[in-house]
Amino acid sequence: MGRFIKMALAGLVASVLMGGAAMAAADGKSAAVMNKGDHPLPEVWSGYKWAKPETQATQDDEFENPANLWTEQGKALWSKVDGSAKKSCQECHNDAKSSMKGVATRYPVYYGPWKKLINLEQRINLCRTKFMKAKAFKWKSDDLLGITIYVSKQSNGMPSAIEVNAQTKPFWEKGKAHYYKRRGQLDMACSHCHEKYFGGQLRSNVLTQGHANGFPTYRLKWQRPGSIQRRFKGCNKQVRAKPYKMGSDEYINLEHYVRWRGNGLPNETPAVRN
Amino acid sequence: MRLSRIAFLFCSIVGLTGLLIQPAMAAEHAKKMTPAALVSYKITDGPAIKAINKSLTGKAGDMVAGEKTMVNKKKGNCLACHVVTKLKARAAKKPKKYADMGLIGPPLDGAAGRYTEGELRMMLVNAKAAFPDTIMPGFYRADKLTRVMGKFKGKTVINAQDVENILAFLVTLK
Ligand code: HEC
Ligand code: HEC
Repeated sequence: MGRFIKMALAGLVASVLMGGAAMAAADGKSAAVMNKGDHPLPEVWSGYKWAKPETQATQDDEFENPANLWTEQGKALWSKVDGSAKKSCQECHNDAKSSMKGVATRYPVYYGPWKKLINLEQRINLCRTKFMKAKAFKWKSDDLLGITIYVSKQSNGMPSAIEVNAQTKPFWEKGKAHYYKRRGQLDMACSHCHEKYFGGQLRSNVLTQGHANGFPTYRLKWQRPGSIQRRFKGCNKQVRAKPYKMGSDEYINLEHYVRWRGNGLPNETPAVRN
Repeated sequence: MRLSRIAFLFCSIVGLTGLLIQPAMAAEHAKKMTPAALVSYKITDGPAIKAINKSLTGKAGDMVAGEKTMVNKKKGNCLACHVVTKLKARAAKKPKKYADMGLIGPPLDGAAGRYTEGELRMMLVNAKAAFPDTIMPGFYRADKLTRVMGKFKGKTVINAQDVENILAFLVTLK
């Protein structure tokens, strides 16, 4: 009974956050979120649901998750002084466990000075260049992956809560258009694989709904973690489409839209996937 | 415990090859393909869907070559999405080509009973003419595409004779 009330409350909070969509039981990473209104999916599921049991176990095992090396590197970076301002993340933000809690559930957000959206990696690099006077980390670097995993991990279990408001709506619209646009020689859209045929078997792979709640994700194929931006490139290339650059406006808008589609899903960084 | 996990990691990596058509390997194939102008064809109404009734090349298709093109991951890669039951036995000897048939599209068993030869040709050339929202690629078209990767620009996935060869195989699926 108490549990039920708690769940109902959580649902209420989430539905406020998500602007009307109602949320059902969040039973960990395989949570289904019942959507109402304008959301294209009747139920939202983490890719965890379709991962092989061995893969799920690798993700869940605190000591065996292969992304741990990166998580540790990120943790060390948090308090490492860098750049000519001689500052560390910690000097401005104190303990990441409290200050970074929930951050990953909100990004990408609108960034006034650039008049567009920025994602978590870009926010981190802005802190480095602006406040630490340090060099920005490269997209595929162990440093950027590590610090992003470490920051994102502080939101684990919290529901994704991307806000679509007057400022972000135009970018959300662009991300949405991208999602439904056929591209490449094979002429497929994201929606073909992740909306129409999720749960279906494409060769030996089971298609998921293509959510971002576990990124940066450790991919067994890559043998290292990768950002959601890198995943987009891979999905474009699969259909023989020319990918965009990581961090391009196109992909940041797409990330905002994709994360919105996953609103309500608990954060689960670093996820492990094929 | 450790060992089995390592073995599992390894298997997952190996198991991943050939998901859809692989860009790196596909590139080689694309270079060899002549960028000659596409053969023109006429679309008519078939009993069930649109159809192209005339052979694209005027030459008969070779069903043995057709099967090869179908299972080639750089070309038709049809089994990524379709089951062909009579080909299942071949997985024992050639698992990479024949195992793990996909379940995205309907099984092709009996397709020749559901569609005419002309309709099946249409499906291969451009399935969207029959099913506008389909995920199935158009294998013999190069126009009205968006952001095609440089090395595939202006090129079709397979050539006109490949279409006829695959068709020769499909019509046996009664
Ligand atoms: C040809 C099919 C196909 C298309 C088209 C496609 N993807 Fe994917 N995508 C996959 C496969 C296969 C995977 C790996 C299995 C899975 O997670 O679905 C994947 C994985 C993903 C993941 C990771 C999900 C997770 O849980 O780790 C995301 C995010 C994603 N895709 C987004 C996109 C976006 C955005 C687009 C369009 C730009 C797109 N995909 C287009 C096949 C496709
Ligand atoms: C990415 C997925 C995909 C690939 C690759 C693919 N198909 Fe399909 N195919 C489909 C889907 C889905 C349908 C059902 C039409 C629809 O509703 O979209 C279909 C329908 C068909 C049909 C009609 C089947 C029936 O009886 O209803 C034939 C024949 C066919 N495909 C042949 C092929 C051949 C031959 C190849 C390879 C050269 C191929 N397909 C590659 C997805 C695919």
